[in-house]
Amino acid sequence: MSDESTEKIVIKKPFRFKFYFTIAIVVFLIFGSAYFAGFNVYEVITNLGQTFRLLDKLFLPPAWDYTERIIGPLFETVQMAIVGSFLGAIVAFPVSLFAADNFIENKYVNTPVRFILNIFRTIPALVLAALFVAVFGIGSFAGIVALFIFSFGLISKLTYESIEAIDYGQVEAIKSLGANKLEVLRYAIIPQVLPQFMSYTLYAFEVNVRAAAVLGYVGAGGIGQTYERNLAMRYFDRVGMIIIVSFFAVLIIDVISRNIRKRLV
Amino acid sequence: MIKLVNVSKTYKNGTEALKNINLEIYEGEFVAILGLSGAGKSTLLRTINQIIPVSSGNILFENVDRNTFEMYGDNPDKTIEYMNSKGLEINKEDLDLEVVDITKLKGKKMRKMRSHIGMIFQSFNIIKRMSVIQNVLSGRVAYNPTWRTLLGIFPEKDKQIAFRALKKVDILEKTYGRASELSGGQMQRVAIARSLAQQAKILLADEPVASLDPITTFEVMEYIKKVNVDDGITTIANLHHVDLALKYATRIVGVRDGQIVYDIEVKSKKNNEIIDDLEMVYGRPISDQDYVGEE
Repeated sequence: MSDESTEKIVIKKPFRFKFYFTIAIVVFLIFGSAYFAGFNVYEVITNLGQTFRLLDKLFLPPAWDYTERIIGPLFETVQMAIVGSFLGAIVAFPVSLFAADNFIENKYVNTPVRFILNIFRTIPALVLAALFVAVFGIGSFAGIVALFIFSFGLISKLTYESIEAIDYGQVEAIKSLGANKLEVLRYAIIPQVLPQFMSYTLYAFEVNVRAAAVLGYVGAGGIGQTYERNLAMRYFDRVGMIIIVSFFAVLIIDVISRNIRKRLV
Repeated sequence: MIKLVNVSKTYKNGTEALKNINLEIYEGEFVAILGLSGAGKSTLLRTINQIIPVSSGNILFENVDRNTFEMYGDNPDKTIEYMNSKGLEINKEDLDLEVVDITKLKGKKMRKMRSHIGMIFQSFNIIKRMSVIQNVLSGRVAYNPTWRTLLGIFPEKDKQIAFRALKKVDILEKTYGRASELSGGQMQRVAIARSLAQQAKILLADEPVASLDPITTFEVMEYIKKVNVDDGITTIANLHHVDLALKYATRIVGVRDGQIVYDIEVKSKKNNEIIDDLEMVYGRPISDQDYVGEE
């Protein structure tokens, strides 16, 4: 069947006010922020020459022979990340049980625990590190404590959400056997969330390696501290080498960890 | 053996799932509960082991030993004799038999009571990331101290109970396999073995075959029937299919809108007459969808 009429059909398109309004706001925010932050494109272009000069100093060539002196701090960085995420995970698991409303069925417990976890998660690792350097003094210990708190917040949040998403039928079945709370945990909850939990711990480790590389800047140990010292002394070729080594170290750890995580879940 | 007295359940959202249920179940029966989805069958079953607490009413278990919460059913002498024949050496003088109201129990006593009531589910609810034997041994949790069950170290006696349970449902060759690798029918058989390992006197089956294909359905129903007849386990099963109820159950209870509207011994009436009666339970004629079909 075909349409007999040849008259042109005209439907007035509605004016999409919301759409244009959103664009206007976004544009205003970007330009407004740039203006207040004192950013302008002209300066970026005129300073391009200086940027190239710096890149030249950093990488052409980098201080290849400095590599062996970087390895030590680099390992310290990775160790900080390992200890921080491991401790964070150990503390995170029991706490996430209290945040999960299908394990502790009491919102007067869940809500405050979640509130505290949210606070831990909002503080950036760098701020935590600056705080702990003030408390424990300069060195990797402050960095480890910062990473521990940071990973604790991250892992517990993800874990309690996983616990809440488990198949409750298995919990019901274990309960019907006459099991107590700990036995329900052992038989119905842990088998279901363990792979995810391990994956979150590895993820926290990945994030921590990246964070740990920067923490030294506030004196919390690791490669960042070496970086900061060389930059202050204007040894740009050494700084370039540090950037190269850190980049590859982070890349390799990310690839390995991501592969393990894929296999876990 | 079990007596529900004026049992009502209203959920937090205001749904009245059960309205003043009175029901008595006798030892050794195979009771099929029929009714439309949402009629309250699942709630009814779950109140019996108090996985869902009642809003009001009592659920009484007769001849329960006050110390162990072991159930001695309608005829304790016979039960003791049977248990002794299995080498358990029980002396009637040592027992303290009384009527226990499960709705009044709390904490440890509640768990002890529950451990004598087996339950299987439509979605099997076995722990897929554990081995078959661990799943069956989990039926022994309430019989062992917590430290043992948390470490997963069960005594040889319990392992023998678990092996015998697996043998009963003919799945002994999968003992050390991972539960996730089993088919649906095999998973349900493992779940039955878990209930057997509990040495439960009562089995609650919530739509045990609803997610199985017709052939496996009859297979699993045969095992449930076998457990019911051989081991004298009183069975209460929510079923979807009328022909399954007529074939396996000794009694049919019809539930509609949270009330018991029908209750009959299967032997006491002709099958087609029961089917006619069931139209009243379903509120519509019984059709092909209510049958699994021929075996």
